[in-house]
Amino acid sequence: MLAYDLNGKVALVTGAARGIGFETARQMHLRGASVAVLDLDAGEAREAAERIGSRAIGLAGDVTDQNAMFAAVAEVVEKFGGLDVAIANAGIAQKQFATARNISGEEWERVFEVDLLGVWRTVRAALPQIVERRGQMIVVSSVYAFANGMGNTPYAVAKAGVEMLGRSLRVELAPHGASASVAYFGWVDTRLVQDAMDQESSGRIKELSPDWLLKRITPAEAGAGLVRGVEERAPRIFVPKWWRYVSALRGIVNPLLDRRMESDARTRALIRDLDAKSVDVGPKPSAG
Amino acid sequence: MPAYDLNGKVALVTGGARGIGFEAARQLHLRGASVAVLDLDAGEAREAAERIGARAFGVGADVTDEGGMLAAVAAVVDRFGGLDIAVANAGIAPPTVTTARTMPAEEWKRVVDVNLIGAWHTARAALPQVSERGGQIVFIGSIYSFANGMLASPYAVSKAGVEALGRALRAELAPLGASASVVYFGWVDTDLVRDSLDRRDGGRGARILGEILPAFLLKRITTEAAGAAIVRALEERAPRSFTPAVWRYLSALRGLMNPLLDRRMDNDAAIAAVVSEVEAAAAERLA
Repeated sequence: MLAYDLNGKVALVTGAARGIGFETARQMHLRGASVAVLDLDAGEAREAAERIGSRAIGLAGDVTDQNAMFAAVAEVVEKFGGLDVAIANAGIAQKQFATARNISGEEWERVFEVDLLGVWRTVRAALPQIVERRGQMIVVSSVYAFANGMGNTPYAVAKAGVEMLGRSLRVELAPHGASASVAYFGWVDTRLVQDAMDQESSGRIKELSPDWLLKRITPAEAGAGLVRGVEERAPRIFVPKWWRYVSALRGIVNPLLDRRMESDARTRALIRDLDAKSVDVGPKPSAG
Repeated sequence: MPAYDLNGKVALVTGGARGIGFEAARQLHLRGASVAVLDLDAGEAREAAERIGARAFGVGADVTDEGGMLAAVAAVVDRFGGLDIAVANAGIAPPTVTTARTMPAEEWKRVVDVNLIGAWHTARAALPQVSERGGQIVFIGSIYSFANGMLASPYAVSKAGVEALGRALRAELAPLGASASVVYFGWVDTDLVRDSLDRRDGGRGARILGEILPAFLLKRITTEAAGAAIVRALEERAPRSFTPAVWRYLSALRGLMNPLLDRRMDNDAAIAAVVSEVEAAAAERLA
């Protein structure tokens, strides 16, 4: 018997037209939930909902717009009678790896705006329903919440913040019989990761990491892990699971790894490359 | 002989008119550095600089305004010929101790804007000078960078983000001979702590913390001790520094202990009572 039965529940997934969000929505629908697929583009959201099935609707919504998020939740409530599970999944990455010194200021703040404040706005819009129905708020963080964010600072900063938001929320929701969970994914084969890793500089990043660390999982595996976490009301959802151990050791291992990065010749060469490169402005939206 | 000699260096301290920032600026000046005291209010910044000494000057700027921070750094360079050290100290606490659900949205976002985006703007404005001169950027972390941020979520979210920024920047600056540090404080006897814990809502914050934390974790240090910790971290180019030192061990064990502590908090009756209390008070404020 599962701690939380998804059958008959109503779920909202942001950034759900593709990638992890789509797979999460699809698999929750398979478990009997009604799902609202939210994405920037109304057409893509509706198409995704059609592919998912009869209890799915597509919604256009920009997580950087608080009123749009309130309106989206209101629409879900009108259509399905309430909202039990909200998954703040929408996220973007910077267009290419770049140092904090030479990324454009607008791009840095745009990633932060979507990845941290977008999660916050989703939380704010969904919480009244979640509390009323003893539901669940899932925030999608990343292993970048604790791995060094070198070359990827706005993403790492935002994901560290998202983790803290989820942990704090879980304690604050407990007295209401509702809960919050933090999901951490490693490398998932999404457009976000493909865009980031198929650049010239990532060749060097790949050289710096062992193969097992870079192994990508499919969005279907990521979605399955997330859905299982919801069924268990798990405080933390790691996919792949072994990141759980890296997270547990973070306080001890991070100072050592961080120091090694500072003196490692290949890391230093990579940073010099990134520092030297001029940067294209403007991130792409993605469903990662 | 310290690894990094402060004598003759130029430092910029944000939020430098009072509290930890003022003490950091004052003690840097004592070590022979020239200091720019930056604060929201230009008058207060100038007054603080006058109290510090001859090689100090005050700058009025808002850390949430990137253009203002660029102009402030330009003014420092104009005045002292360069900038070696930026201490991204400016920070605020949420005006109300309450849950993320019931905190006014503007208050939540404002804390993140000042504490996290403000630190980013400070770093961005200072980076060209700091990297050219093999200098340093200091970020002010907190025990809230890793302790559960219940009832203080925007503060904890911003401090967790600042920690990630400081760690990443340190790796990025290493090839240039420059560095970044994260200095973590527990409770410091500042206006920020006194206002949010002792004064607001009849001291509810302090009472709540007293109910859920052991006394040794609540001990407040002076602003002098906090300023000294920043100066020491700079002299040692330390990647991280903890004051009180006990937090170093809690940080090292965070990955193992946080899941256990967080779970305990989920099931704690005293915390549940406090959450109900602050949410009822928030509802009253709205009504």
